[in-house]
Amino acid sequence: MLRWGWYILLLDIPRFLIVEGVSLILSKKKRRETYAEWKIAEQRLKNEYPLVTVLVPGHNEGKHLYKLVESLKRQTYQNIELIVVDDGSTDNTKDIGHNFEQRGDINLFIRSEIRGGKASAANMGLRYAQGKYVIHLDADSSLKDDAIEKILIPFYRYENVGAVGGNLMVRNEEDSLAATMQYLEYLQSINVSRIVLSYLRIYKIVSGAFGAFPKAILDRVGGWDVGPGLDGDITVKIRKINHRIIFEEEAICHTHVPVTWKKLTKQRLRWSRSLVRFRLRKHRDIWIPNMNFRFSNFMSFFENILFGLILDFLWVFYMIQILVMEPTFLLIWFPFKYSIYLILSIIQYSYCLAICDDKGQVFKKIIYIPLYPIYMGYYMRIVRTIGYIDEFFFYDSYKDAWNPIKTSSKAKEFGA
Amino acid sequence: MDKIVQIYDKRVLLLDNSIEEETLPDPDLSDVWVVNHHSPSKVKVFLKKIIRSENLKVYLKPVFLQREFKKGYEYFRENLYIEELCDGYIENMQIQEKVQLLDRVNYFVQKYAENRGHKQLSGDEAILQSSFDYYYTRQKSIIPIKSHNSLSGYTHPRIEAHFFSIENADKYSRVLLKGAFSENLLDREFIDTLHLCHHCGGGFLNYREICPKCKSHNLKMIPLIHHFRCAYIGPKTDFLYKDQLICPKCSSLLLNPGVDYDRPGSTFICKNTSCNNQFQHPPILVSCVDCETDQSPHELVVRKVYKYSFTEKGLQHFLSLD
Repeated sequence: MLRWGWYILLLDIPRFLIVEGVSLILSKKKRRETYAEWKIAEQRLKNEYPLVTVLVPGHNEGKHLYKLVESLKRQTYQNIELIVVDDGSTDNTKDIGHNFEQRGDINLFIRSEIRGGKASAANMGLRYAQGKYVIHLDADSSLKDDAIEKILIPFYRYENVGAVGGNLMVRNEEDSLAATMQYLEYLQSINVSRIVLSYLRIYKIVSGAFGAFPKAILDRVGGWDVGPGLDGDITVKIRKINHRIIFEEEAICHTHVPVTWKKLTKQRLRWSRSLVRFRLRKHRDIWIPNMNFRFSNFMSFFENILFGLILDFLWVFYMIQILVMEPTFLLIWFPFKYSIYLILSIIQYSYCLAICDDKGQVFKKIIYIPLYPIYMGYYMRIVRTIGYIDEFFFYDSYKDAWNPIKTSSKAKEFGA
Repeated sequence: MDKIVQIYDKRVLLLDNSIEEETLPDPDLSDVWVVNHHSPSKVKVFLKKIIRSENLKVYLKPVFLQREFKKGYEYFRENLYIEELCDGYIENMQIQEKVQLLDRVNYFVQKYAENRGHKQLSGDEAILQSSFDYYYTRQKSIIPIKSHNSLSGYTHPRIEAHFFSIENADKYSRVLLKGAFSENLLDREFIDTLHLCHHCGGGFLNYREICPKCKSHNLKMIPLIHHFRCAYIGPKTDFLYKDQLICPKCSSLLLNPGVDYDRPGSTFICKNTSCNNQFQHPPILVSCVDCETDQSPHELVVRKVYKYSFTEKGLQHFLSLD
């Protein structure tokens, strides 16, 4: 009975090795084979050349605006309307924003005098948006020069696309060990994993850092709802009205990740709470086989909950069981588990190397791989499990200072 | 001929016919002049004539208005500064209250009346000298007063009385004072700042918020409402249904401000039917009422207003006899 932990490996290995490997190969192959269709889609985009709104809601993000404006000026796609929404900033964001607006670098700078939270800021910007597509960015995102062009092409390549998620890479991986580990994590969990999930039609979150939506669809779902976790939430809403969610690995955005372990922990706790809040509570109807049931929606949740929540709980519970009942077993268990996951990590790392552009830069990080199983297998699992319990029993996401209390309390009251 | 009355030891001339006929009386015949005429416009003209006189005995003569006439004079707003053109109001012919002033003027006149006239003064210098004499004997500084009549909003009535058109009066009196200040004859103290039309220097300005697209100033301001529960944010018109506020996104009723919703700002709508632009920060356009020139606020001329007093050098210069 004690050794049931072995069976968990039967889930992780197939998923990360076999399913991911196979899906990655098939996805890349399909992409190469349909090259002509991609080219046609690109041409259709360039022929139509629709106005695209770049929406950047933020609080006290004034210092990032310069880089953002520069990044947009370098874009290959230029029919852009930049709307920056200042959500009650208390620093000099207002002055910086007005200055850019007067110079014409920002098309519309909207300010809310009272802080309302990211969702209301995004919705306020949406209200003034005139583009056919809306690209939601975080203020500290910096885009590759062809990122906007790339993220729009899937709308012309496929039918019925409700949202396209861009690829995220860590910009500041040199800042600390925590940042470097996140760099590796993003390579695997976003760059590789999302290609797989998107290919399998179960891609679950279009990140707020870089995501594109047709404006008509955003209007139809009523814009964003109260966060944190509003990016995952709106992705689910769009899924529910039967639209496809696509991941575009060639639309690359570099983002700034937390540098200290403390800040990283806070962020991951927040993300884990969102998982419970949105996928187990608010959108629990996805699980129910009623008239609105869609298998792909169900599977996207299921994959997330199984590998994100259930396995985390099982692993942590197993650890506690060993520590309590037979601590000496750890001397066997720990090296064994570590070896298996080290091999797994190396294989995953080779998948990343295979598909990434800047192989040299990725390869330099190989010396950090030995830490990866501890980072993901212990640190992350423990943090995430705490987050799940925290939200499940204490509803702590509603107390997170990330969002103003006034909206959190109302969201809590009405189960949003 | 106007009547002269004796009050204590002072000969008081009651100005009536002189004002009607616009002739200056002989200054030697009386010590004090008191205006005894009803028409404020004629009185103004007469007082300005006194100021413009080249005869020191005339322009330094103490001239008073009677408080009993005040209401009649000030019936029209344009006459509000009429007392600045003379030595003010007295009541019930109480000349004895002004005895110190009368003696001071008398002394000055006796000392300087004969000895002036040797210098050949230019127009500007004459104005400065005449003004100096007056302010020195009255022991006052040259203080501008606020007036609706003036072009910029401030006026130096006595100095401007020397000029004949309203634009010239405003411009030349400032130039004169500034010139004297730069020669160190005058000292100045800051009292106000003005923003004036860059074309005509006028201070009567109409400030309007305009649509950034079509420049119309027929705008409507609508408060924004943020509904907490569902993060919907939009102008109040989105929510208004009959008399209640109902959220267009989640259909709930908004009852308590601060609890259910709040107002984080406002939005403007251009009422020009061919524009209908929506925006948050309307630019401001300034229109000059006098010359109808449109300009933006930072194109306005910024001018400072000062009060002036005489320096030591100034005193020496204007009191010298050669």
